[in-house]
Parts: sequence; C-alpha cells; structure tokens
Amino acid sequence: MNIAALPMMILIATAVVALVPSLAPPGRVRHLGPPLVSIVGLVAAAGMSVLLWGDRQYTFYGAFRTDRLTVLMTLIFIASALVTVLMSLREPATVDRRGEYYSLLVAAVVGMVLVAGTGDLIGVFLGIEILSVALYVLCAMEVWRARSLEAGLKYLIVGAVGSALLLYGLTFVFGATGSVSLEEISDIVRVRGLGGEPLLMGGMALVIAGLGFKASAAPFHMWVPDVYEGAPTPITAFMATAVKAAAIVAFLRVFSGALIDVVDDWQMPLAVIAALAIIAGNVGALVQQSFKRMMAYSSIAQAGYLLIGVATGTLLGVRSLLYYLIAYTAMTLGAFILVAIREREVEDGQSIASLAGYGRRSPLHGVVVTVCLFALAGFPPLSGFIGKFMLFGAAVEADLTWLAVVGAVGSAVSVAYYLRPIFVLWGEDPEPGNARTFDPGDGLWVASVLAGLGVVVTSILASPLLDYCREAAQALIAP
Amino acid sequence: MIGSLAWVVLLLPLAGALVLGFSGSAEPPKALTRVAGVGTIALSFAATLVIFFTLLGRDADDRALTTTAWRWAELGPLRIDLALLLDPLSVLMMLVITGVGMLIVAYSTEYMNHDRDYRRFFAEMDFFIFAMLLLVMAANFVFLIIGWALVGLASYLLIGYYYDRPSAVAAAKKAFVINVLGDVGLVLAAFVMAVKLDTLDYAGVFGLAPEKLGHGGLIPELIAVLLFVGAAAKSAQVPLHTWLPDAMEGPTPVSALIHAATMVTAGVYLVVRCNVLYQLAPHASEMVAIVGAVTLFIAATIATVQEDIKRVLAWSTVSQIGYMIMAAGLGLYTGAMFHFLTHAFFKALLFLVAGVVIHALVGEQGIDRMGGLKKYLPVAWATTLVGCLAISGVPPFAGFFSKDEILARAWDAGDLGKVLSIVGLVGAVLTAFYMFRMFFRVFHGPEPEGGYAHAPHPSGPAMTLPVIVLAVLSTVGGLIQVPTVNHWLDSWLDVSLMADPALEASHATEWRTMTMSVIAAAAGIGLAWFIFAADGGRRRVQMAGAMPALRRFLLDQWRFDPVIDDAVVAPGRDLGDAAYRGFEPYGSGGLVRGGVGVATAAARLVRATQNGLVRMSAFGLVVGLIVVAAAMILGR
Repeated sequence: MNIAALPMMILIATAVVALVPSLAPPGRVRHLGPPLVSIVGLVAAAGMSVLLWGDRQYTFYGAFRTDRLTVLMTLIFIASALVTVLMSLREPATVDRRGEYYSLLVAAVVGMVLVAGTGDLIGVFLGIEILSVALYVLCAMEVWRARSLEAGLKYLIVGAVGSALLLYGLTFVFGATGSVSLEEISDIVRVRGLGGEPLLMGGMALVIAGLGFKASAAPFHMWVPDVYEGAPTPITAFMATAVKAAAIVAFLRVFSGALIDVVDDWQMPLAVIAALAIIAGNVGALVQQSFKRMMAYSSIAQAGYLLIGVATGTLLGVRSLLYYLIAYTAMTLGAFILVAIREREVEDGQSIASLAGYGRRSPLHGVVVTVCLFALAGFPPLSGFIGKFMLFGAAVEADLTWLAVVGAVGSAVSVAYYLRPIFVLWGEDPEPGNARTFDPGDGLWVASVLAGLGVVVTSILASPLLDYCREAAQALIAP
Repeated sequence: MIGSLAWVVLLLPLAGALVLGFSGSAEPPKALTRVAGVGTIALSFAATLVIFFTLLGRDADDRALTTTAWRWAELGPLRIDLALLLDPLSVLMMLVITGVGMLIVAYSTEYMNHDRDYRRFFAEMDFFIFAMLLLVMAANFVFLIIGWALVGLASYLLIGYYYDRPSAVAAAKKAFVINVLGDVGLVLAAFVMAVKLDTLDYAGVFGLAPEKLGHGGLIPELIAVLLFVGAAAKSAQVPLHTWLPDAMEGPTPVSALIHAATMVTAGVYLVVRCNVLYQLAPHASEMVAIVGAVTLFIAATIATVQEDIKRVLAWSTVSQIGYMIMAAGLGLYTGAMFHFLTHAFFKALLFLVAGVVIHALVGEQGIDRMGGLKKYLPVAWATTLVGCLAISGVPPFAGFFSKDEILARAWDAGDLGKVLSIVGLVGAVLTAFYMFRMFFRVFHGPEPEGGYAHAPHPSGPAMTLPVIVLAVLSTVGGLIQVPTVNHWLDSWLDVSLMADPALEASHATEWRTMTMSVIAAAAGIGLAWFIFAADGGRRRVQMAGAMPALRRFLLDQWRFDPVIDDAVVAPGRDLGDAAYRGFEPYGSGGLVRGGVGVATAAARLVRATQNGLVRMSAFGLVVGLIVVAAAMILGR
C-alpha cells in the first residue's frame, strides 16, 4: 500500500487516540487532551493531503482514489472540522463527554474523506453512513436538553429512511451496470449506451433522493430547521458546511464522474431539486426570528446554489461549484460562530433580536459576521458574489437559463434576510444592561478570525483558487 | 509612470482609512488624525494633478491607458483583471473627488472638532474617497460594481454617523436598501453583458457592443435600462429619490462631499461612461432623459417649501442631478459632465457655507430660526451669494455656462429635447426662486423672535479657506467652455465619448437660450426678493396662508413616501403580518419591504407543511422521490 490513503489513516488514528485522554482523572489532561489531539491530528492530515496534490493514486485495490478532488475536499472537511473544534472548546454539550465528542467529530471527517475519494459505490454508502452515525450521536449529545435529544432522534429516524433510499438506489445502479467500481460503471455506461435504461434511471432517482436528503436540498429538507436548531451550535455549523460538502462530493463522484454520459437523464431532476431548494430556503428564511433557524433555511438555499453546479454537468459548473463550496464553508462558519457566542452570553442568544448593539460592543465579531453575511448575500467583491456569478453563468452555458434566473431571483430575495441581522447588529441596543453571563472563550475568537480571513482570502485570491478548482474538476471529469 | 501613480492615487486614501480605523482603541491626538486624514487625500490630489497634466501634454488619441495589477478571475472566456483606467473622463472625476474631497475634509477638521469620534469620522471619509475613486477608475464593470457597493456602504456608515439618533439610523437604512436595489440592477446588467459579449472590460464591451448587440434591439435596451436602475438609485432619481433628503441626517461635510459633489453623481458618470451602450438603446435613452426632467421639476418644486437649510440644498441637489441625467439621456454627454463639474463646486460651496451657518448657530438648521445673519457672518454672506448666483445661472458664474449648454443643445436635439429644454427652463426659474428664498431668509430680513441666544460667531480659517476656494471656483469654473469662444471640455472628453453624437446648438438657439435663462434667473430672484426681502420679510408672513393645499402637497414631497407605502408596502405588510407578526420591526423598509411581504405570505405555506413531525419529514422524502422521478421522466 502506498501513502495515498495516509490522511485518512491519520484521521482514523486521531479518532481513536482522542478517546484516550478522557480516561484521565478530571483535570487539564481530560479537559484539553481530546481537542488538542484532534487539532494535531487534523492539521497533520491536512499537511499530508497538501503533499498529495497531484495525479491520481489508487489504494485498497482501487477502492480509494486520491486525486486533486479528494485532496481539495479533504482540506475543506478538515478546515470545517478545525473551526468546529475551536468553537466547541467550551461547548456545554462536551462536558463529561469530551473524548466521545471529539472522537466522533473526527470519525465523521473520516467518513467524509472516504466519500470524497471513493472508487466504488460501496465507499459512497459506507462513507455517508460513517458520518451520519457519528452525527446522530453528536446532535443528541446535549442529552439533558430536550431539543437536542429530539434533534438527534429525528435526524436518526429520517436519516435512516434517507440512507435506505440511497442504498436501494445504489443497488439499482449496480444491477443496471453489473459493477460497483465507479470507473467501470463509467466505461459500461458509455460503451453500452445506457441512456434511458429504466433500471439505471430508477437507481439514479433513488440516489438523488438519498443524497439530496443528506445535502438538505428541497423537498428533502423538512428535517433541517428542527435538527439544525436543536443540535449544539458547533455541530450545526459542522453539518451545514462539512456534511453538506460531503453530500455534494458524493453527487459529483456518482453523477458528474461515473454517470456523466447519461447526463441528459439526471440533469433535469437535479436542476429541479436545486430550484426547489433555492425557493424553499430563501422563502423560509424570510420569516425566521431565530438567527440559527434562519441560517438553517439559508443553508437549504445554499445547497440549491451548489447543486446548480452539479446539474450543469460541465467542467465550468464543477469548477464554480468547488470554488463556491470553499467560499460557502468560510462564510457559513463565520455566521454560526456568532450564534455560538451569543447563546452562551445571553438567555435567548439564538434570536436575531439578541444581536442588537452587539457590533459596537464587540467590533471584531461584528465585522466578521457582517462580512460573512454580505458574502452569503452575494455582494461584490466578496467570494459569494464571484461564486454565484460563476454558477449562474455555468447554468446559462449548460442551457439551464431558467435555473440561473431562479437562482438570481432567490439571491435578490436573500438580501432581505441577510441584511436584517446586520442592521440589528450595528443598531442600538434597546436594553444596554444585556451583560455577559458566560465567557465565550478564546477558541471562538480564533475561530471567528479564521472564518473572516477565509472569506477575505477566498475573495482576494479568487484567481489562484479558481485555478486549483479547475484542476480538481478536471481530475473528476477529464479521464 | 502615470500608471503606477494611478495606484498611488487610489491606495493613499485607503491607507489613511486603515491607519485611522485600526490604530488601537484609544482616540489618538487630533493633530495626528488631521495629518493622516487630510494628508493622504492631499497627496492623492497632488498625484492626480500630475496625471492630469501628463495626459494634457499628450496627443488627444494617446490620453487613455489601462494599468493592470493582477488577473483576479478567469472564467472560461471571461477574464476579469484588477485594472485601472486612466482616460479624460476618469481623470476629470478623480480631480473633483480628490480636489473637492480635500477641501471638504480640511473643512471638517474644524467642523467636527467638538464632535465625538473624531478619528472614526476621518477614517470613514477616507474610506469613502477610496471607494469613489475605485468606482471611477475601474477599467471593467466588476470593479465598477465593487466601488459602487463600497460607496453605498460608506454612505450608509456616514449617514448613520450619529448612530444613537433613531432618525439617522432609519435614514441610513433607507439609503442602503434603495442603493442595494440599484446594485441588483447593475449586477444583472453586468450578467447580461458577460453572457452576450464574454467580456466585462470597458474596452471590450464598448468595442464589441455595436457589432454584437446591434442598434435598438431588446438586449441593448435591457442592458441600458438595468444600468439605469443602478444609476437612478445612486443619483436619487424619481422614484428612487426618497433616500437623499433623509440622508441629510449625516454631518454637513458628509452631505457636501457624498450627497452633493461626488457619490450622487455616480449615476451620471455611469450613463456617460456607457455612452456607447446608450447610443445603441434609443428608447432607454429617452426614458433616462424623461426621468431626469421629471426629477428636476419635482425636486425643484419641493425645494421651494423646505424649512431646513440642508433639506433645501438636498432637494436642490436632486433637481440639479436631474439636469445632468436629462442631458446624458439626450446624448449631451459633455453637457452632463460640465454641469457635474460646476455643480460639484457650487453645491459643495453651498453645503459648506450652510455648515458655517449651522456651526455659528450651534446646530440650528431651521431657516425660520435664522435671519439677518449678514452682519454677523459677512464672509458666509458673500460666498453664499456667489453660490446662489452660480446655481441660478447668472452670468458669468459657473452654473450659467453649464446649464445654458444643456438647455441650448437640448433645444436642438429633436422634439423631445425641445420639451425637456422648456422643463429645464421652468426648473431654472424655480431654482433661482428657492435658492434666493433661502438666501434672503437666512442673511436678510429680521432676526428670529427673541434674537439669538449666543451671538453667531464666524468660523476659523480651516473652515473659511475651503469655502473661499470653492467660491472662486464657482465664479470662474464655467469659463473652461464658453459658447462660441472655447470648447476645452468637448475636446478633452472626446476620447472617452466614443459614441458622442456631438450635438451642437446653432448660434441663434445659443443666444435665445442665454437670454431666456438670464430672464428665468432674474424672474426667480426677483420673485424671491419681492416676497422675502423687499418688505423686510413682512410679505412672507402675509402670504404664509396662501394656497394651503398646494403647499401641503409640496411639503409632503409629492406624497412619494406615502404612495409607495400605500401601494407597495402596506399590502405587502398586511400579507406579511398575517403570516408572521413581529417581523416588521426588522423589515428593511421601502420597496424591499413590500416584496418581502408578498414572499412572507408564501412562506406561511411552507411553514404549514413544516410542523416538526417526523412522519411529515419522512413523507417529504417520499414526495421528493416522486418529484425527482417525475422530473427525470419529463426532463428527457
């Protein structure tokens, strides 16, 4: 075995080792050990991944492929996980179960990396299940809080249905093509000309439904607001970014990668669920009073924008999607960090109203969130604007002009709700006595700076980043 | 050489803003703030002068150059560079932005001296100047839009400078929301251009457009209209004008710089810059001209009844920009830029003197609490007189030549031009009237009842000098282009105006218009003198009750706010209320709120299906599967 799977191995080891310090007697080791181990492991895996940037390498007899797409996605997952770890340092949910918490978090990343680099259908399902099971537990981690428990349970039940659909679909695809290897499927589909083959189409419909559920696209999004709202905020942030990215990369591997020759069969359903997600997310977000819930709806809409990139089935679409995914991860994390801070500081910290006057009290977090929300709303020159502009352009190029129009209108509507927290944030505090009740800690401060920098850097260095994204997209689509 | 100098011009104000904005939390010594705030802009102005004279020394065809820093994004055929364009048009704008900007920022060192957050003020002013420079220096539409959005942000910050005053916060929000509406128009226009032309560089777009888009087709008209949505929002044209008068909540130097001299004329700049596109879109151009004329008339009538010195000037600004937009719509691009230039001088002057008066009266802005100030503030009296004569179009002051050029050339620009020229002439009467109404009521007539609590004090040199410089410019600024004598601006801008129809007025029209506009100015001034000054102000009191209905209509500003409220906002709000109570406090206001209301009603439907039950979610999965399958079968 060569070293191409080393990042994943490091992550597996990290997940195990992170459990160890929690066996220590109560004290510093038990408290700081698991997060430190996680950070070290994640950084090591990230460094290892960077070194692997290059041509495709196979491991596990072709079951795992390390190409530029795998590396890029691994870095996105790890970045999101790192920020989540920093956000979680004082998270109430981690009290008494620090080992499990961080271990599960890293285990979820392992699942994601597996999805990103998988060489066959089994890997897709395995990866998705590894990350899902870890997240079922993480959502319910705050067991003494009914909302958290409810979120975990709901996610588990609905998630099981989603997984079942996915698995069912994957078996259909296997049945139609006679292979589980993505590369073989690609060849078989091309050689045999399986366009319009009912078995394959049924399989694809089921896979779209199953992965659409994981990506929280409409109409599979009904669980999202409740689960996102109930879960501990760092986990919500993690779900909105890394988990969504994993589902998107599964879409890419299966559809844009293996099934690219039957793009006519799957383009329309993907475009439809993208449009529905954009509509449902943006409309739903308009009326939310809770910032966390608003971000949940926003992430549904954002899943729609991301799916535009898949639906195009073109190199430009995938490249735009990857760029937007990087940008989206940074800006969404930034927004959730504020939720995490405020809910620890004041009673109803999740509500938009509780942000009143916060910008003036804490300009750093205020500026970061303002930048992130502007980016989410797609203001030029921020990365959100570039990404959306490119995605819509790719849609127009792929003859999906109607989808670009839906996206543009949805994006215009989204300005209304993204601006609201900003206005409240920099407005006046109606009751200046809103004192702190809980020190959010340095971890959040660092996380906030990282997220803000992420948005700024992706905006300024758009050109080199887009070059990397093109190379990753070529690794997927070009042979 | 001047290519790199362009970057210096652009980045100096940004450096000033960053140094001031992030230099720790304690307020640094004021002297330091002054040096950083004014110094960076003064240097920037000096560099702009070097660029200007270098270009002036070159041949006319050699006066445009692009300087590229790096390729920002490359998307298939679409290449977007971070590049600056130096050409006669952008250099003219840069001269005004840095030159007038320097004067106004210098003036602020004294004006804001007793105010709070001294440093923040200069940081935000410097930031604004950076953003405005980016807007005019950008060499492609992407960076134009970026500058466009950033000036909106700076304007938002500065209108809401007194953030604990609810009216200021409300005004800032209103301005921001309307400007975002405009930004959306611009982005859509850029998108259409990117799809149709595969380029967003000015050179590329203006070079390809005539060939690829054709003349008078749907696409060029669409682009022109979308661009104008952005221009109208930024330049406060009807019906997107309601934010500008409210924006007077900001400090007076802000009103002078952003809401009179520079930012609000960005729309004029945009239309002039895109002259090629507007020449391809005759209907959109006519619409632009008509909107400008309607705006200039409506705003001029409203200005005649305002009681707040800054609001008189604000409505006057809306009206004067109307002249520019009208000119640009008629294809009189030089005329629009000429009026922009002289307007920057005299309107900045008027605002700054208004600031002197407000400063002298310790914050009083109502003109009925003023009167007889001539003997306390002789310099302010003289400079205001210059400003009023200039804006009223009395020869030989600057406004005379620029307004006359627009009206004369419009007269010879077809039937629409004739009608609009007459509207402009009526506007000129109103302009002279409302300006001298303000002048007489502030500086002549009786002192307000009870006299002044404190004797009004003249201001110091830092405020007086910029005022005097601007007064001189307002006097002689019009001489750069005198009909039949010289056409300096025409020939200077020639390179930038690729599609300039170069309309010229005949000598007969020229003389007739000149006579008419002098008569118009005299009529307006005479009427104002008759009512407000001739009788020691008594006649005003007698006439106060005349025409109450018209007066109220004008005081309600033609009922734009309530009509927009009734027609768009209220129904939307009712729908929205039904869907979700409590959303309203954070509604973004104006038109956006209306749209939100409708969408809110739709949201209710979405919510109804989301009752949090697990079986609902699972059912959703099944429904989704059916949707996917249907799309798959139907989509083939």
